[in-house]
Amino acid sequence: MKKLLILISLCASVTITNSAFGISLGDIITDNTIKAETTPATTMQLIKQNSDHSEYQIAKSSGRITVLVNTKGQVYGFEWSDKSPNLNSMLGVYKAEFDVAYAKRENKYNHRILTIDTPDLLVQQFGLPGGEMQGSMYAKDLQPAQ
Amino acid sequence: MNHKIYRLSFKIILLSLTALTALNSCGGGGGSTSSGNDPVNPITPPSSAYISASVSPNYNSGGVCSNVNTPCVSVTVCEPSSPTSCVTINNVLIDSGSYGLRVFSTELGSVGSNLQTESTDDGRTIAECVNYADGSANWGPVARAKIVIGSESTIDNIPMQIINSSFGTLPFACQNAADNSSPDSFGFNGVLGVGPLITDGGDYYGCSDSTCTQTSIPVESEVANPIAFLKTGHENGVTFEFTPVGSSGGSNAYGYAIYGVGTESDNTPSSSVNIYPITIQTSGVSITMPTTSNDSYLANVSLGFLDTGSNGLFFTDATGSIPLLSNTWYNPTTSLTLSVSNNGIPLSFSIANASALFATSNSAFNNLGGTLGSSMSQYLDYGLPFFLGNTVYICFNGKTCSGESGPYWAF
Repeated sequence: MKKLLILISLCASVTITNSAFGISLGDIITDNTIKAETTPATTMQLIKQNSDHSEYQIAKSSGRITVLVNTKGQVYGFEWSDKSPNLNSMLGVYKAEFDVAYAKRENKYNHRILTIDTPDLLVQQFGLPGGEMQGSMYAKDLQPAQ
Repeated sequence: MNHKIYRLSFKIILLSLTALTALNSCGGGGGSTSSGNDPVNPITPPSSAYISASVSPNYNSGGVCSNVNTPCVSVTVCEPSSPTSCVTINNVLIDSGSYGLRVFSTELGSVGSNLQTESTDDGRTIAECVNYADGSANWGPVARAKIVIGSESTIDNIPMQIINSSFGTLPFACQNAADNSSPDSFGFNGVLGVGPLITDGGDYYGCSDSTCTQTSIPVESEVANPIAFLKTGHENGVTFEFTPVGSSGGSNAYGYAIYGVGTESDNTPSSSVNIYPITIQTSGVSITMPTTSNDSYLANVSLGFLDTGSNGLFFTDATGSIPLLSNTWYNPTTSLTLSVSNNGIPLSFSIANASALFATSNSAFNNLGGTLGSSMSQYLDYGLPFFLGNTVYICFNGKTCSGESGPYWAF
């Protein structure tokens, strides 16, 4: 079934009216997910498929987000260049772990850079106010083996 | 030209500042020439207008403006209709990577309450959301004020932001402002953005009652870089001049942000200073220059930028071999000297062991480096360490400085 869904998503860039981007770490990417996360102003399409992972790119007016999916269909990471990324939404079930580490983070008054590195999670973001934020987020326990 | 002496004293108390040695095309090799825990090295105050800033020597004390390599200034905000009704705000970050003045409402007191807020054409109050990369945000209305920096004041009605997370209803895109509702949580009483752009091009909202929706506003209503609106003939740019510090840092440091570039003898680049045109981009970091390196550590770097709001020299170690302290700071066993080329002009800088630097309890370091992360490897962020001991000229966008069109950095 997953192979079928991946195949379907490989064949077309889906553009369907719906709510804003809301995929989280750990989510299973299905065709319905793609449809649900796509709006007239946003496209989501499969851009890469390897033996160990797939990459979907979401393009929207504020930037672009790459969704990294393991062979089980689970989202294990995001990489983005976006003016207003929603970290809380992307973190999903990892939000609590993020919050604990965020409160203890090093160099917390340097507002240019974020680095959160926990046993299960790596979040990094960088940018100047008013510009796009460059960032990435990985759920280590879901990442394909290196 | 007005030859009145304009000064904006810019005292920067830098905790530990280790050696970053910039070498221009006329210069020699890198490396530190300074000794350990040096006192502040005095520099001659400029004869033209400047603002003074300070970086708290209370390293990691937790108070406002207490982080390492963080330059702060004092600014005065006045009611345009009542110029004697003013309030002076201390511990405001002076930031060459952003644009305009933002101050917490709690620090403005009654003056803030009396400022005229900016409105949309249909009468809604304009508010702004400023998101920062660390996940923090500033939210609050835009109001017009007379801003006094150093001995100079801007035109009477310049848009600034009053930071107030209780204003209206926080829009979804600005929810993180709730976590930065006070100077203590944000780390500063405000931010004075004096980067190379005139206005901030931010995310604006129209608010009616408590409902705020994103909207476009005319550029005249955007929060604006105060130096670009001075009355003195020095509004084309800003010149940063900071004291040097030793290789293990300094307990404090200071400097000056001199108004204008090429308008007075002390803000005019010499013939040995190189100009680095700034590319304004809509994707990624908005202000950059071409930066490359043959150094393996910087193999992926293609763009650089200067930013006093960054408290280190930030880049991604392409080799992955430099040890990290707290997943943030580079912690090499021995100091590294890294070489780059900005717009074809060579430069080198040092990265020291962060553990050793912090052990000094100093606050100003010229060789403190940190990581940007794996997906940002194209950037080299010349933060405050680069400014220490150097004179950096910033010519604003749309202005001409010493016969050259801005925007550009020169050093």
